[in-house]
Amino acid sequence: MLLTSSHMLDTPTVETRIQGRQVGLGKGFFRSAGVAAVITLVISTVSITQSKAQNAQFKGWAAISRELSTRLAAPGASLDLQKFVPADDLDELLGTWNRFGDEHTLQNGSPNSVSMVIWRVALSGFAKSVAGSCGQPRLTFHERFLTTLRKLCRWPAADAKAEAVLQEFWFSVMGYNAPQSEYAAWREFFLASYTSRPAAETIDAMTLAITMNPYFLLHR
Amino acid sequence: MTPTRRDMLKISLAGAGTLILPGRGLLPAAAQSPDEPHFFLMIVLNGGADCSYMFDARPLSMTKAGKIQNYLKQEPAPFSGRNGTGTLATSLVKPLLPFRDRFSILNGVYMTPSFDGHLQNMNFLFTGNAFGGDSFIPHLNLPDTGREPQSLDGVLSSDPVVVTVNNHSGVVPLMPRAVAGLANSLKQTPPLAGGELTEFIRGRMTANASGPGRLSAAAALMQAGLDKSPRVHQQLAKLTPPSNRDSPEQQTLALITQCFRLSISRSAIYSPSEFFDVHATEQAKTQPKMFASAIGKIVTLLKGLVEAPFDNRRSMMDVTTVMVASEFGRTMRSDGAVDDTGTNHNQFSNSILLGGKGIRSGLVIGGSDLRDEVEEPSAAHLQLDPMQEKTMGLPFDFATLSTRPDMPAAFDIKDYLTIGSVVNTIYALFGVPKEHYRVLRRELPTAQVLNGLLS
Repeated sequence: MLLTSSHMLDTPTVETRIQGRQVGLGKGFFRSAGVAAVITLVISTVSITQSKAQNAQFKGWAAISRELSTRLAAPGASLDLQKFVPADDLDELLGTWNRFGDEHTLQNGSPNSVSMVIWRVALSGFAKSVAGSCGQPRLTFHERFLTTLRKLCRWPAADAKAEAVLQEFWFSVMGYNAPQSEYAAWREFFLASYTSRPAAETIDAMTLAITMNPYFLLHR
Repeated sequence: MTPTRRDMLKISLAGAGTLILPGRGLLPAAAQSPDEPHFFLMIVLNGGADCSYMFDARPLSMTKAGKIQNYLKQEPAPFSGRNGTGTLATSLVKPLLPFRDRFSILNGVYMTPSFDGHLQNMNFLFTGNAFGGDSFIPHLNLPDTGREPQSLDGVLSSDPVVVTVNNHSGVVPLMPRAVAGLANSLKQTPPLAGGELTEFIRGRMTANASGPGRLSAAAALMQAGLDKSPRVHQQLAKLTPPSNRDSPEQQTLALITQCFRLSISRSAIYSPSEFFDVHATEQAKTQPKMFASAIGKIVTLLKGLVEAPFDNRRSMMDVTTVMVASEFGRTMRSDGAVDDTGTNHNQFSNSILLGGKGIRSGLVIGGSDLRDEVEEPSAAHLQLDPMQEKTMGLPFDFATLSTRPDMPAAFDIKDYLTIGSVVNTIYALFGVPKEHYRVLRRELPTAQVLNGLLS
C-alpha cells in the first residue's frame, strides 16, 4: 500500500489570509500532495501549449525611485519622484509586489503599451526637472551630481561635451546597469544630433534617453 | 423567495422549442465574421467555487446521508436546458434566471487531472499548462483572427488573478479608480511624438531585443509597447471616469464598455472580491452569502451589458462573449459530519457559464456523477478519487453535448469534457488559428471544439 502524506500529516486545516487572499492548506491539499510520487510519472501528461521564454520584468516605480535617490540625492535625503507619476495608483501599473501565500510575485511588471505611456510621462517629468536644475535645483540633488550637471549646463560649449562630463552624467543616472555599448550609443547620438541645441533641451533628452533604456528599467 | 420545481420547469420548457429554429439546434454553426465587432469578458470566481451552490446542486437527501455539505439547507430545484438536459439548481441562482436565455451551463468540466492547487489550476484555466505558458486571452486579439487587433489584449479591472503567464503583457490592469487621474493627466500631456529622440530610444530597445534572454524578450515588449503608446495615450485620454456613486461592478462595467467601444481592448477580466476557498467549516458556512453576493455582481454586469448600447444597432451583450469560471470546483466534504465540515479542491468537476455573442444559449451541457446518495461511482472515478469526496465529470458525447451512460473502467481524458474543449470552442468562435488549440495531453490530439455550442 502506498502511504500517502495524508496518512502522515493528519493536521488541522490551516487558514491564512494575506492581503485579502486566503490560502487554504486543507487535508485535500495534503492528500493530493500524497500523490506526489505519481505526479512525477504523470507530469508528462499535463497538457502543454507552445510557450516562449519569459521576459524580464520592470523594476517598478518604487525601486526606480530608490535607485535614483541613492545615486542622485543629497546624503540623508530622497528625491520626491512620486509627483511625476501621472495619478495616484498608477505606480502599481509599473510593477508592484504581490504576496499570495508563500509566493511573492511582481505583478504588472511585463512591459505593455499602457506602462510605456506611464513610464514616458513620469520620466519626462523627471527629465524636465533635471534639465530645469541648471539654475535653482528642482530636486534635492547631491553636490557631486550638481557639479556634473552645471558642467553639462554649458552645452553646446565644448567643455560640456568632454568625455569625463558625459561619462559622469551617464553613470550618475544609469548606475552600472548597462554595458559600455549603451553608453557609446548614447554619447554618439547626442554629440551628433544635439551638437548645437540648447542645454535644457539636450539635458532633458539625455535624461529621458537614459531612463527609458531597457537596462535602466528592467530587472536583469 | 425560493423558486419551486414548477417555476424552474416553466422557465426551462419555455425555451425548449427554440431548438428547432435555424441556427439554434445542435448542428455546427458558421464562424463569426471577422468584420463584426467581437469582445470577450471573463469573470473569474477566485479560490475554487463549489458548483453545488449554483447549477450543479445535489438533493438534500445526499446531505442527510452524510455525503455532501449543504449550508443553504434548501432543496434544489430541477433545471432543464432547451436541449432537454437537466441538472439541479439552488435558489441562489434565481437572480440569473432572467438571463438564462443569454448563457449556457457547462457542468462536469475537467481542469488539470494531475494537480489540485490553486495556482496550477488557474494556470491551467488560462494557459492549458499547470505551470503556466501562453494565456488564451491574448490569442483572441491576434491579427491571424482576421480582426484588426485592439490596442490592448485585455484589461483587468479588478485585483490581479494569480496566474503565471508569458504573454499577458497586453492584458493591462486598469482599475476604475485609476481612470480619472490617468485620463486627466494624459489629456494634459501630449502623446509621444516621432523625431530623433524617440527613434534613438526605440533603437536601443530594438538593439537589445535581438538576443535570446529575458531582458531581450522584455526589450521587445518595451518596443512594441512604445510603438503602440501614442494611440493608447490618445485612447486612454478619452476615457470618462466612472462615477464614484456607482457600485464597483457598475464602475467596472462603465470602464469595460468604454474600453470596448473605444477599441482599447479585445477582452476584459473581472474577478469579484469573494474568495471561495472554504476549507474551514466556518468559511464553508458563509458560502450561501458569498454566492449571493458574487451572483449579484455577475447579474449587475450581465444586466449592464444587455442595457448598454455598443452602437445604434447592438447592445454590448450582442458583441461580447461572456465566460464565468473558477479554477476548479470543490469536494463534497472534508472531515467531520456534513453539517460541520469545510471543503477541499476538486479539479475533476467544474461548472462554467458561457454566453453572449456566438454562443448558443439556454443549454445545459455535460454533468457530474454522484448525483444522489445511492449512485455508485465508476471504476474510473475510484481510480482518481478512492475516498469518494469529489464529484467527477461524467463521460461526454461531443456530438450531442450530453453525458454518456457508460461507466468507464479506467480514466481516459478523451472520454470527458475538459477546459481545453471550452477554450478551443472560444478559439473557434474568434477564429484563432488552430496552432494555438489546446491538446488533451502531450501525446494526444487537440481537445474537441463544442460545435453545438456555437450559434
